[in-house]
Amino acid sequence: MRILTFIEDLSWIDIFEYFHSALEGVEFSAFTLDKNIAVEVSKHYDKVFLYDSAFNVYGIQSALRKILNGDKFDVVLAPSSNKGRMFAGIYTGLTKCSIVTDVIGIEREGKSFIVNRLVYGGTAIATIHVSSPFSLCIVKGGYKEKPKNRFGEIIKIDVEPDSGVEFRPREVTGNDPTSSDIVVVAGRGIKKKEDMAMIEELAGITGGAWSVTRPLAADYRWADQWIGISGLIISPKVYIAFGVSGQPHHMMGARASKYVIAVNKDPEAPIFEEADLGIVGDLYKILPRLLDRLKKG
Amino acid sequence: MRVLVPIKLSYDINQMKYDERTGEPILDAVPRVMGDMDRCALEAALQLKESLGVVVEFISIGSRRTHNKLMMDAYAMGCDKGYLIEAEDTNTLDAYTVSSIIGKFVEKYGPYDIIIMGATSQDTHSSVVPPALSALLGYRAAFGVDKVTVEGDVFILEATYEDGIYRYRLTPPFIISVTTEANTPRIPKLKDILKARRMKYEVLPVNDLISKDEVRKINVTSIKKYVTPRRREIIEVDSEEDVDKAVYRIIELLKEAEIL
Amino acid sequence: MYLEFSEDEQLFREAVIEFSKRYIEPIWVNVDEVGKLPGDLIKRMGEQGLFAIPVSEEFGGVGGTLTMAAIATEEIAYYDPAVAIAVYALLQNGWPMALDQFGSDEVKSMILPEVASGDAFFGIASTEAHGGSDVAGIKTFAEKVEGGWRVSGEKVYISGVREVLELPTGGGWFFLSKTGSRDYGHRNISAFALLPRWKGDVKEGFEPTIFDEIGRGGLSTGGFKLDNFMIEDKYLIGEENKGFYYVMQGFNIARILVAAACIGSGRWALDQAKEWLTNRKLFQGRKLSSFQGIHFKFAELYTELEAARLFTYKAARLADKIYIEKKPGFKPKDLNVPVAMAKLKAPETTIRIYEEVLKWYGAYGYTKESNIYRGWLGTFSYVIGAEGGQNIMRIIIARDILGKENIRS
Ligand SMILES: Cc1cc2nc3c(=O)[nH]c(=O)nc-3n(C[C@H](O)[C@H](O)[C@H](O)COP(=O)(O)OP(=O)(O)OC[C@H]3O[C@@H](n4cnc5c(N)ncnc54)[C@H](O)[C@@H]3O)c2cc1C
Ligand SMILES: Cc1cc2nc3c(=O)[nH]c(=O)nc-3n(C[C@H](O)[C@H](O)[C@H](O)COP(=O)(O)OP(=O)(O)OC[C@H]3O[C@@H](n4cnc5c(N)ncnc54)[C@H](O)[C@@H]3O)c2cc1C
Repeated sequence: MRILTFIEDLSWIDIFEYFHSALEGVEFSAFTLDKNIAVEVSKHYDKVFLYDSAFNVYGIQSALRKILNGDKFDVVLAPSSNKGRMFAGIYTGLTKCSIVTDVIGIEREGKSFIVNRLVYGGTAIATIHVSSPFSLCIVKGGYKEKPKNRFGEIIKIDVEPDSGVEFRPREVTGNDPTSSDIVVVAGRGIKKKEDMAMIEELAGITGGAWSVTRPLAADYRWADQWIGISGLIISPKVYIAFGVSGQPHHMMGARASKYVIAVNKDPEAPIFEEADLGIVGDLYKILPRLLDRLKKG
Repeated sequence: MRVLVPIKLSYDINQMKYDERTGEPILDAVPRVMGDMDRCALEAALQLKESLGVVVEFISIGSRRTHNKLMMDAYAMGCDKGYLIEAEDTNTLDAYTVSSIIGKFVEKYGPYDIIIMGATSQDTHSSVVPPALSALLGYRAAFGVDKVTVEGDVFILEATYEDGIYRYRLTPPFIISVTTEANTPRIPKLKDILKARRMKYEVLPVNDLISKDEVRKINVTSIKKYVTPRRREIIEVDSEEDVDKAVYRIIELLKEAEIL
Repeated sequence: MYLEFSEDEQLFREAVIEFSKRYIEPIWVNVDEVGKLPGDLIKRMGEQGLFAIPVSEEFGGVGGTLTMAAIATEEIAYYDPAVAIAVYALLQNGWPMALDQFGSDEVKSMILPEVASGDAFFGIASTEAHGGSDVAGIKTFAEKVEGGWRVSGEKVYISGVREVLELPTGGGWFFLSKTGSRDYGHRNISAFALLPRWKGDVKEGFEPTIFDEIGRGGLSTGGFKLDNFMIEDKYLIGEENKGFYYVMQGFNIARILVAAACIGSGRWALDQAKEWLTNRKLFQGRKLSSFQGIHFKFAELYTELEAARLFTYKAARLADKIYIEKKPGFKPKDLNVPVAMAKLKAPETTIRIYEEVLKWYGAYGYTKESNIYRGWLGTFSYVIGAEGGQNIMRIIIARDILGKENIRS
């Protein structure tokens, strides 16, 4: 198995390593858009393709065409993120291979593989049979493996990026839900923007990050990122939600959490179906008391 | 200019129903709708119709029996011409097949200057049809676009990904996919719904575009309701003591998870 | 009859729901409180095609059906359970449809496009102080003069008086008056399109008044006095002295929409109750819905509401066959009983729902905060008798089923 991975950030090295083993790969190539990542990745791969540019579809199409001129792959792995899906989608269009997104597990079966993926907004798992060549977009989860040491060469791919791509990085705030052990999440049960202070305070006290559901970010603009299928997929130790109903689109971003705690006043809220600890009650009573207790130590 | 909008009839995943015993989905009982993002794609195209006078065409893959309302809906919003690629069981077509059907259609019935799609479908959520199509056609592209502005011949397209905001400047031909941030779709007016009832769409057999052996179905061996193993300890808070109990249990769990 | 909407009806229903969620749900409480429909909402409703739905396109209407008008009314009432906006819509559909059926082309092409756009109002003015149920006893009299009619009299409890005075174009009513003789009876009643204000000032001889009501605050109810008010010949609707015959058909049309408004509001109330009953806990954590005294009642009301809904759409479908499709063999009088049943059932069921729901809500229901009372007061207008009292419905059913001669005392 010759495997090509799309590396968006370094946290993916361990995850892909797990899939490298599961797929019984023999030759490992990576594709990245970032010089520093390329250097780090080259320590664990046979080959690293570096297309040093801001993300742009046309450039990636050209870069992949160039790579595919000399190299062939049996499997492509990418994160189930915005860019990962685009990368794998482009690859699929170029090579006509099959593609499975939202992958949460894989097993070999004879010459082919059984892949588990989330469908219907993460409410169901479909088991799908694939044989190579195929691409997989993977949901961040518990699977990890210590990467083996390899000594890959970095191959620069020079293709013109699309005319006029501009990138404005997100402000670095130190609040990073994707790499925190606990993520405190606010939903529409939080009634006023001022009340977000309590959510941030809890994140502060517990040394974690905070985030929101889509309506709070997209409609109210109280945050610029949210948890869920169209936002961030997180896998912290603890996900604790206040006033979140737990609709499938949202939960798909939170399911990989080790523990789920939910505070919601509606006993029928779907989030209770998938909580380790569910508190049926008014968050405006519970959250202040919790903060109070934590501050008192 | 001609604009093409591919639209999909998706299962309304907020109304998913599962067999209690087997955990298998009962798809026949789930209503099917035009996805929110597909509706935004139509709206984006119709706004171009108003500002630039483009012709808006749409295409869907499915059967007359299931897709008639969807086609009427797109006409009622104001589209000029619709095509239905006739195929059964479209939800098991794999993403490459969907892209190649649309791609072949574009080659045969195009050229289209702009293709606008929803960033992701409402049910399968794979977001891969637009990029695969862009690669098939060799078009320039921008996906997950939240904002479309036009400056002369140049389209400025803004998309937000995990690490920040990307701004692309493209001139046609190109293909984009839009999110629900891009606009607020218009609500079809009754007069237009009544008119749409009489509008015909062209029905093309799928095998006019790709041959039978090119139709690839995904090989789903099972599909089951996703249940994460959770403890499901529930505390109902009715009194002040309950508040304390709830807070106490939260803190205990945070300790167990080694947060505290 | 199995009730299923066609694909275009489903699409329309979805569109009305989306419209109502966007533009009506956020303001209904305020509309009820302030007591006035915002002008921009009326304009938007016109643009969306929510007025003059069952009016032919030739005369500026939408060219839809009464079933569609009922769908619109029901869904608007769900998002405005205090029903002022729903009632405004129902008037703007029912009476324009009646005018479309019986008016002259000249008057239709003048009035109906303005109603459809929302710039003008067109309602019904029949009630007089002696008693609205007794149409044959009206006292207003129109005297034939050169080129028209000179009218004097007084109408009370008329919806839309302020709207006629304030809308961009103005408007008026499907108006009843005695003609020829002042005798008691219905063979000397004529119908007119009365337009006291149309693109300009209020015409001479029209003195309006506005009443203060307990419910459905957004829509005005008032009255007016006519003092030698001149109506030109062309505004006579249909033939002279046939007005009673036309207005009874108009009532049949409008009553279907009244029933639709009630079931929309009632459905909202039951949905509120469902939330409340399944969340509120008493007696050491028992849900209210777990008490048989409550869930039996809930089940009963839910069933009654569905029955009312079936009556309503059955009548609407029949009206479409008579007036829109004009199918041979379907006569206006076939509508009497189906409509009377819908109008009897829907408002009464809705009021029963509100009375139970208010009790289930307990003291909270009695506060203004809960907003349940707004729907109660709004829909109560229809058990009192707007568009025909409940006993009149009983009379119609008894008369048509048992026979006129068998129900006389
Ligand atoms: C294509 C698509 C993609 C989407 N992607 C995402 C996504 O990535 N992420 C996402 O989050 N959403 C996404 N959504 C939206 C998603 O479907 C839901 O609408 C959203 O997650 C609901 O957010 P919420 O839980 O904050 O709000 P609601 O569903 O309104 O829930 C609020 C909850 O708060 C509770 N509550 C209210 N007051 C209190 C109180 N005082 N104390 C305790 N509880 C209280 C209520 O009981 C309720 O359950 C997407 C939708 C679509 C169509
Ligand atoms: C249980 C299950 C599992 C599946 N797993 C896979 C899988 O692993 N791999 C795979 O390749 N397929 C899979 N499919 C098939 C899947 O339904 C899609 O047809 C395919 O993956 C395209 O992805 P999408 O629908 O998520 O569209 P996206 O790529 O998210 O679509 C984006 C946009 O593309 C356009 N579009 C998509 N489909 C159509 C259409 N039919 N007609 C017109 N426009 C359209 C729309 O504008 C849409 O909003 C699965 C289906 C099921 C039921």
